[in-house]
Amino acid sequence: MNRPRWLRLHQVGVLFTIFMILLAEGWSQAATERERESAALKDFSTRVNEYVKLHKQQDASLPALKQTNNSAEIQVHQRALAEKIKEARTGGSHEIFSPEISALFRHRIERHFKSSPTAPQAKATIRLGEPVKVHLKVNDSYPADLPLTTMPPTLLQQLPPLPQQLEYRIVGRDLVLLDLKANLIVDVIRQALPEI
Amino acid sequence: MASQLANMDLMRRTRYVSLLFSIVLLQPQAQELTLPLKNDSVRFAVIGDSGTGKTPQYELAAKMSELRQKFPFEFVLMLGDNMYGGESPRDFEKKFERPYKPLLDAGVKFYAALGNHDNPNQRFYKPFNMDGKQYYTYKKGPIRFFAMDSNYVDRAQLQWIEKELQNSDSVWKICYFHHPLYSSGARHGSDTDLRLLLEPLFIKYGVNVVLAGHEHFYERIKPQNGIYYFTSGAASKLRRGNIRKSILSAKGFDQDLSFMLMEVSGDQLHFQVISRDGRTIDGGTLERQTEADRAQKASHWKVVGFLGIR
Repeated sequence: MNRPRWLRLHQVGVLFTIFMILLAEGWSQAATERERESAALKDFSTRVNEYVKLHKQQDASLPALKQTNNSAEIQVHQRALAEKIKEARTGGSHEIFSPEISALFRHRIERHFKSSPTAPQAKATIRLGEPVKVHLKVNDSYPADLPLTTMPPTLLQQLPPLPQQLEYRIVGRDLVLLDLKANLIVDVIRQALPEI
Repeated sequence: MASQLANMDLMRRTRYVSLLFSIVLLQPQAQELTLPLKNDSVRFAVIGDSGTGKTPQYELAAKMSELRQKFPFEFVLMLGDNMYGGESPRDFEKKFERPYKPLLDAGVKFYAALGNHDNPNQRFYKPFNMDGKQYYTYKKGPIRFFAMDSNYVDRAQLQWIEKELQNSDSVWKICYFHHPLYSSGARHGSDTDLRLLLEPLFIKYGVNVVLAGHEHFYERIKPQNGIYYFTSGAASKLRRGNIRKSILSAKGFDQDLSFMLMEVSGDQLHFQVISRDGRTIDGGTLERQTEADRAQKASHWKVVGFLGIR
């Protein structure tokens, strides 16, 4: 049965309008997502910079650690710095991984392990790199008798860069932020990684 | 024309085969120095996974000191896991200062890379010559060494290695770090994630030799993409029988502890690998690669690499 021409044009117009609305909705959602991600990244950068400022202040209050033949000096400095930082972080919120920032990290890590062509290699690096399973808390020292799980370089490319004082580390399925010089756990995202 | 092309192809193939076989294999034999000890050569030793502080480490260290009487190497490359377990002053003494005391007293310098068992603050320990850095570079005669931290290859380290390799006009470029890009080890195997990012840079900027530890045995890998790869991670710990049959491997030894001696002179790198009981387990001479060699080996690698990837 032939429909009138005006009716067919009307139907096409309706479909086109629905398509455009959906497209606009998609764009809008993507833009909102980008804005949310950008805000979380900016917030992360601010929090990291604040931590580094605190680290530098505490480090400057100690005798400078230079190249030394005396390994005791290294150990003493590491412990003293860790204590100073812990003390300075008591009271108030010194969280780095806020819920929004944690969500961003989880999203990026999940995306890398689910859809990146290098996911098998990244998983292999973790699996073969002597993974550790221990429950570490904020302000803990990283245990001296445990190895540091190797960070897959392709995963590192997906995470926001860090200043030289800090590194990301994988502990079990947690992602840990480690202060190298103080050997101190700065913050943790629990269960950030999939089962490897 | 066709015959000329065929001849050229034959010449290239012959050259490639001759280059591969310029590695002269030695049969296991009693302690006998085969290195040429040429005038003005650069001589060094290589150890990996050394820091247990237990008797085997001391035994191998004693063998190193003994051989230095015949082959006076000036410095030692440490390929990571310099300190297992604790890192108290007592540990530094037990796991480094005492076993290598004769070498340290003789003025031998150690240049350490960090392993997964090492606290990054080892960079402040002067005898490791890291100058407070997790990754660093230095020059010895015609060789530029690049000590990397393979535990954490982030964008900053990638940018650093690219810049340093690009700026280096040294005749020889030797990179060393803890995790092997190629390995036949059953325990760890090749770190292919690391390889994805590092190998293109090594090829682009003409790295000649790559040394790694992590696997507790010795292995010489067949040249990959024109680069010579060695694993030497048995200076204290041994994973006996851990080398799997692999198309990658040119020579492997997992029956005892070992260390490497190397001598660079002109366009040749001579190496000898010594076990704890003083046997030579591998050795030979590597020719420095030319651009043409690299191009030829690159096409060969496509086959070997594809089959060898795990």
